[in-house]
Amino acid sequence: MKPIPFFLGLVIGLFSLSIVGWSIQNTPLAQSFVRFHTYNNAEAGFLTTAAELATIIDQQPPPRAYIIVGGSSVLNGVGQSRDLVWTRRLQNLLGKDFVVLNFANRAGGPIDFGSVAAEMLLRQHRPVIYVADANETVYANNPRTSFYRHMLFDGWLRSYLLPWPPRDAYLRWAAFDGAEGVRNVALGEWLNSFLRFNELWNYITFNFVGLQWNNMMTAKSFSPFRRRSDPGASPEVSRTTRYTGNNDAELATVASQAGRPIERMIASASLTEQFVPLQLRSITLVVVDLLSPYYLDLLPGSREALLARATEQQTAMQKMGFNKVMIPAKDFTADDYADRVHLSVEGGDKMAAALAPVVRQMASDLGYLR
Amino acid sequence: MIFLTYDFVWFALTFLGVYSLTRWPQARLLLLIAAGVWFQAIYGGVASLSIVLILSAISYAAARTENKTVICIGIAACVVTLLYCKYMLFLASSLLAPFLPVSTGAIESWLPSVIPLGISFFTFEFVHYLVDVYRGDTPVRSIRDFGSFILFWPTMISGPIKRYQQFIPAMHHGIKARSSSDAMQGLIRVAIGLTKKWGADNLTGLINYAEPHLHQQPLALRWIFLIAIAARILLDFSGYSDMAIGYAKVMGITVPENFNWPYLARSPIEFWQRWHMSLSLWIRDYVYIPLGGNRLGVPRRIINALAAMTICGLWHGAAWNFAVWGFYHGIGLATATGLQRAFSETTPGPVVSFAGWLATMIFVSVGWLLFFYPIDKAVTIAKMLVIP
Repeated sequence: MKPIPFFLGLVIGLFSLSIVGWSIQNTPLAQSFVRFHTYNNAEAGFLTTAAELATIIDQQPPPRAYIIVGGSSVLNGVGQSRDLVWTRRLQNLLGKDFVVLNFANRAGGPIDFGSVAAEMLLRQHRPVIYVADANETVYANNPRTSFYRHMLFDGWLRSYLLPWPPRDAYLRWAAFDGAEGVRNVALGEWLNSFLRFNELWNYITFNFVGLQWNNMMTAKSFSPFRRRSDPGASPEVSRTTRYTGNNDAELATVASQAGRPIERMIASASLTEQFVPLQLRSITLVVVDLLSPYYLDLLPGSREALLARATEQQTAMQKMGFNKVMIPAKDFTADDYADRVHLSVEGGDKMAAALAPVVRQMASDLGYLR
Repeated sequence: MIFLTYDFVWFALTFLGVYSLTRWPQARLLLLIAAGVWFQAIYGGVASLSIVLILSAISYAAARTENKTVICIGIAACVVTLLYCKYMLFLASSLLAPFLPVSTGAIESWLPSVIPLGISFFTFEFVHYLVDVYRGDTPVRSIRDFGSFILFWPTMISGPIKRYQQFIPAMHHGIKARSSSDAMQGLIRVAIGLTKKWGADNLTGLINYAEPHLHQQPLALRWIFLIAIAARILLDFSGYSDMAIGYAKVMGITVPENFNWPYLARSPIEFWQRWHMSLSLWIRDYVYIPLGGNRLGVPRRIINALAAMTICGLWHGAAWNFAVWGFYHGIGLATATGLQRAFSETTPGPVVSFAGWLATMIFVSVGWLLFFYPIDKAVTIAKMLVIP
């Protein structure tokens, strides 16, 4: 074999694949998007890119305001079926003037998919309200340990993010970060910004064939993602399986969460200052999650302690410039939860009902409804 | 998995680009050493790099004296470092714990928290160098040549274990006369290695998923599970070796092969002539032969084989299952040698050859259970292969 044809073929092959990656990056993958699929994570070999978020947004008819939901599995609607997920209820309550998009994910946080989408819309001067969740001490998830930290780098390299000097400095130097996990993601996303291999990989995996065996999808690892439905558990099944986990373990978690020290909130606040731009905070509605009364009531004093800490968190976040901070689950009952932390369909409906007027008021205050 | 990180992709692209553009051989040599220092510092940490540099200085200086006592001290320093960094916790917790007045946790707190990157490989290369000089070979005069031998990044983490007599001329040839054909062959080899690693990683997922459900499966599927483990280990090890050999070849440097179709072996002896060859030759030259090898009669030969293979097993990891795996192969080698001697007069026909291959594959594959799992789990799975 001659070296020159080989290297020529290598360069042409790489260039061609890269061209394909660039050209399909805005091809819609998900049709009728409701929320992220259970398998939308690194363990299943599929991580949504920032371009795919932009495509989902652009599939919607332009509303008077986009309601981007980000954050954890609580707002993703784990515990509710796809058809009865709380963001659908919120969409119904808000009407056609609004488009609600649920970019919250399992193990996610307020500074990954949702915030990138919201910042992209802000940069494009499109009307947006960002809804994200916090617990009683923590808002911002640390990008060093976040499951979806790739999203921040991807969004930044595509210029989707708002300018925010402390965050920009971190992202600029992350390639030299001592933590291998961050360094590796930063360098990978940088390479991807030239070659677009992640987009190509997702396109093939979604439409044609899974490219790796994984534990989550077992025998069907190699079948394309588009063939996988994710309806979630029906309300009947959720009701029968509610609170059937290991009670001792759940109670231990609740006890530790109710007794968390104030230092944790202060450490989290500095992360928020570093990673959440003021402009984003000004259009953000924060939902402070609470735990299920089913467990709190088994631990005397824990409900009061948790609520007191959540109220402190609410005050602290208001001072940090967030538009609105709510604790909608204050009066929720054990039936409003599917497990220790996730809401049932009833709980989801209650949350949507609590959020809808607040969102409408925010939209009005922000001038979106004029 | 360093070769499979984006971090490494940038390192390799930068290094190989600069190496290709540099025409002056001495500059290439210095670049090679600098890249080795960077590689060790980034992936192993400064502490790891310090240990490599200190042992390098000791080995280089000891060999240059050509004084046998000093060389022995150098060898002892390498072996003690390896024992201290990699095996002390294992030795203390499994052998000394019952007699010590302190807990395993306390012992752990005295030991280094991080094992230096590639310590098993670089200490074996130091020992090889010092022993060969002790036996009368000429020591390396040039610090740069010695540095390139020790800090050659492609082989730093998973071999092949190099011999300086072969590597230094190959390195000089590479830095002077690397061709585009070398680069092409090297990249093809890297691609083969990556493909093998992809296969191995897929099999790892499958094995981890299947193992807890194995007792519910029919016998045939349990044997397929065993084949998957055997394939996974080969693809993983040889994939890494392919990538190391490939990156070296891109620089124009030929390093020794490590695998030669080991699953075609018709006896355990042949298997070890084909599997991880740089390690098995090292064990033969620096453990088995010094213990007496074949020279001191059959009982001693068997004891030597068992000892050498147990050390070989422990080299793969500081745990009892690796020691037992090595011992198991020692028994296999001793048995195969005995059989070979008993039937040395006859030439094996195709049926005997096939039976030999089948028996060897069963022997090796069942042995992989000890390599892959703790002893009790390995025994449980081995029983499942015969008991429905």
